[in-house]
Amino acid sequence: MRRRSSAQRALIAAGAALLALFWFGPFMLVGIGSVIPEGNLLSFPPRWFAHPPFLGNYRYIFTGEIPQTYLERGALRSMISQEVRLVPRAMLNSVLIAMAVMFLSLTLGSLAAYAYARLRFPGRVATFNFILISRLIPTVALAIPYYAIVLRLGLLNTHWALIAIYTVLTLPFTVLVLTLYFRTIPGEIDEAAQVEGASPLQVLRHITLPLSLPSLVGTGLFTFMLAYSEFLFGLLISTSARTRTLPVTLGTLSTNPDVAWGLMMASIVVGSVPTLVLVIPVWRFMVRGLMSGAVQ
Amino acid sequence: MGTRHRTSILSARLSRRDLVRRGALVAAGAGLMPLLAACAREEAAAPGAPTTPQAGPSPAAGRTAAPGAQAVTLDFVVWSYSVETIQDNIKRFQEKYPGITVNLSDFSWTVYHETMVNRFQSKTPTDVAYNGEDWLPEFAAAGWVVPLENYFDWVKGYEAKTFPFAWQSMIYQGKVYGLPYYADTITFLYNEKILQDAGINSPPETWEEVTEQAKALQQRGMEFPFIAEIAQDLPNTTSAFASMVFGRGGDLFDEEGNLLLRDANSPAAQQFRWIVEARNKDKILTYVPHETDVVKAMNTGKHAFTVLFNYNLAELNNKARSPLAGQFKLALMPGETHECYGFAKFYNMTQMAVDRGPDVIDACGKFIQYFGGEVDGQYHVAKRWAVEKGLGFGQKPLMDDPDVQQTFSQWIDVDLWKQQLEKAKALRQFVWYGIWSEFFRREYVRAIAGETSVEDALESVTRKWDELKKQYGG
Amino acid sequence: MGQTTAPRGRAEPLPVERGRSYQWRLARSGVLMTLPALLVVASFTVYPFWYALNESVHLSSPILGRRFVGLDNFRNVITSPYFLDAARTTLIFGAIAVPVLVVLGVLVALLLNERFPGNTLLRAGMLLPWAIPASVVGIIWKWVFLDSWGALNAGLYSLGLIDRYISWLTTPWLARFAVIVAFTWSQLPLAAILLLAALQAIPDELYEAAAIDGASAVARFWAVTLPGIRPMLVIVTLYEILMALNIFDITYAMTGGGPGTATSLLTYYIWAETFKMLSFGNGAALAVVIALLALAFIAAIIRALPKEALLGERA
Repeated sequence: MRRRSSAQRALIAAGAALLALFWFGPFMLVGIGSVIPEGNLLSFPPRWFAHPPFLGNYRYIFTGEIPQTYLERGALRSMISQEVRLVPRAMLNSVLIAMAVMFLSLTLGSLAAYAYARLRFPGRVATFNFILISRLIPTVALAIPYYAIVLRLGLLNTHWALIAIYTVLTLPFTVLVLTLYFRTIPGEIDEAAQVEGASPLQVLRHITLPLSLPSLVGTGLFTFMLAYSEFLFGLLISTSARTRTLPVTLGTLSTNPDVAWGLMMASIVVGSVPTLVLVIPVWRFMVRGLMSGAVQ
Repeated sequence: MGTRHRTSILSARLSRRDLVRRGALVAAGAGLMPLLAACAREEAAAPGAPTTPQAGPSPAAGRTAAPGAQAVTLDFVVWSYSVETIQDNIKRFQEKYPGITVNLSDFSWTVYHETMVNRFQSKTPTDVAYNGEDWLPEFAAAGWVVPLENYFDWVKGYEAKTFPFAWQSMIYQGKVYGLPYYADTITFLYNEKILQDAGINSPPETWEEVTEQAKALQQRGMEFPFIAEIAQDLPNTTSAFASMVFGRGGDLFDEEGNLLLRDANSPAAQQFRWIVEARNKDKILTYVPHETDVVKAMNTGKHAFTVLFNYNLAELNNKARSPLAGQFKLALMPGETHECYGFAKFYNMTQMAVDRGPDVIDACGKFIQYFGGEVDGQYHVAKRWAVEKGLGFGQKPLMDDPDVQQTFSQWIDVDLWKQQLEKAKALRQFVWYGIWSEFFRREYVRAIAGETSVEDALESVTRKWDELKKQYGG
Repeated sequence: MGQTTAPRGRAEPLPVERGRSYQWRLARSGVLMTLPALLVVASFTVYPFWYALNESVHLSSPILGRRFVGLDNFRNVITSPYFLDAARTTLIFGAIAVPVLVVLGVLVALLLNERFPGNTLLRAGMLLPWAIPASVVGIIWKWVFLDSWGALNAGLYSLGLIDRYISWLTTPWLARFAVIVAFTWSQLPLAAILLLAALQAIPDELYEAAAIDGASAVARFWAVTLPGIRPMLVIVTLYEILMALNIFDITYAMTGGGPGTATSLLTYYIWAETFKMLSFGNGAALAVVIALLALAFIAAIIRALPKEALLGERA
């Protein structure tokens, strides 16, 4: 371990504090926004903390119990929309889609990446370039042809369509990162295994993949996140609340005049929870992978 | 862990099984697309339309048709507003007409036009859809939606029962395309208490007075007395501009389809200049990209005036949520004539429905009449929107409905509102309007941000109009 | 089929007894292993590419019909002031955001590579901004920056740091700043994670050797760290360029492209041409132009790199 002077330690502490503020600050504001009654939130001069925290927005999302303040006498519109209650369902949709995409993208991606990193075969450079440049056309321009394919396959309003599209959108990145990573693993190990008669697929499965755990996890996370947060295709392809993904549901809520700001903020908090639950263990795993890699 | 160790484990594991698995994996990859297609077929095999997956768990999906009637499934597309109410209306409709099943799809308002273009262009099954006055010319000219009066005799009977501005909004080339979902106006709203505190006893009557009062409020420390919804990507911005021009007694274009922004003395050009100067010279105006932002900003008490879709007043005066509820009032649109922009959003039948044959056309007729018209002496759906959600309406008889009057009086001066409705008018419609509107907004926001001069902006939008008029055949 | 063709290129040294048939088997494996990924990518690439190219040379409008117009669409979009504005804004945006992201990414990765209390929390926490859908990132930062009731104004005002609210989103350069902050917030985690992974893969011995040679911390960074993370820097830069060219949701949730056209980017122009102005041909032409721009960017960067950095022969 390299030793640090006290000046360096102070610099690190300051950097960490700044970073923490940048990462978490907006989230804290969202959290605060979700528990302040609308009246206080909009007050000028600001009186955010004049009331104790108000948890009605969360209760509504999960139980459908309409907060008392929204039912006040004389209110014409309840200003609360049942659409908010679709958030948990949308979360589930997004998680399922994202897991499938992660699995597919890693499986197909690591197969291809191993071949690109280790094997000589006809069309190697050409197909690699083809996969990479397939992402150059802006997705906005692909909306109509993608939609046409999905429609022709009869996949409209299904999760399959989104899984296929997100796999296509993430594969180039997966292939690129894994190819580069596989190339950093010394080739002698492979050769030793090949001498013993192992096929490339066996080498990939028993040697390369275990050695590449950190980059696999990182790439997997990337594909998960992309699939979890994509908006445009989610919007075009899911035509009903049943299949809609989280970004689309939240996007729709944000422009709905019947959704209070606090309710919107609470939906964002709720929508971020699975990410945390899912991601922290994965992250631990990744850190451990990185550490063991470093020790080795 | 050493490499030597790994390789020896490996050799021990070599087996036929691995080879088999490898083959399977490759096959699975190569066969991915047909596989996905197969999964989809399962998903789409639900009862209902043969060509489209069910849009939602429909309560009537399994029901047998009424004797004699052909079972019909309609695909109904809306923008996402109170989808739960729409579902409930559909349920009631299906109870009344057991042979008809309705699949609902909904999309966010902000991208509705784009989503529908995509849907029509790709021929995604759609029978009845919400449509709006500013998209009707395009959708009709593209042959995507059809005039109701070509198919149903009862349509003409609604003309006398509909506000002229709303009726006009649903007409393209002399034919009526729909019945109203809701109809509303873009009006001038203000905070009465702020004006009173400043010793101003009546709202502004002209745009010069708006400036004057705003400056008086600025003297008292309010930075931006006027707040507007201005965004390059929302058609609302053009409509709101048109509403202010109407207030001055002007219009955007004449009967022959000439743009009236060319002449610097036209009401349209004057209003354009007024907005730009309110921002850059008098500095009384600020803006946000969405109406919901305006409602919240008005509730901070930092702004006194706005021009907005009238239904927002219901939210502004909503005691449950708005801290300043009760302070907000409607004023007639400032200007010489106090006219304002009125519009209808409506139920439209598609060409795809017509292509499906007479049973579907008949079902669409029943559906549109139930939702937008009068069935058994009641405007079931329109009244519900008015009473439960405060949406405006195009159906004149609802104005005398006691329930409607009672709810509306909670947030608006009903008599004044009636006066404003009488002065509401629809925008003249041209096929290229929507395209021009997109271009207009860009020049409008650039002028407001000081990126271009009023003269250059007016010149450029006029040139674009003439170009489009020529291109789209005038 | 490609499997029967003899493999080209320099072969690895092989055990003598296996010879050509072994090489042939490896080549066949290579083809078979890349095939699934290729098929998936191709199935959603060939037709859309063809579609976009085909549309770009047609007048394609549901109202005006369809006919071949050669390169007219390209001329239309490139000469339109709309395009020039959006291209300029996009270039400014990319020219600021990408270097900021890469530099901050390296700094954050270096920071997280140190040991200090709270390190794990920071590492886990940075996944949050990343996991937020872009459309929601826009909403969150709008809540921060809004002129009339935004959190930043309320906070600064409450602390007495400002005596009137700042017009963050209606002042052009402040609005650009706000959008870049939001974009950085959502993109920095990925950049930092990837660079951190690369940092951790650098063997400690290299640092120790450099230290023994008497290299200063700065010199060690240039001599050891930078070369070590170079491939990952390339990936991050390429990826962020693509993201910057594709950014759409964040700006429109925050500013609606305004004030004026200060935050109107090329992607919005494609969207508007295609779906709002119903000019599918112009939209497609624009997409092709942007793809070519991106290709030029990326080619320039790859050219600037040593040959083996991506897929060259293994050293």
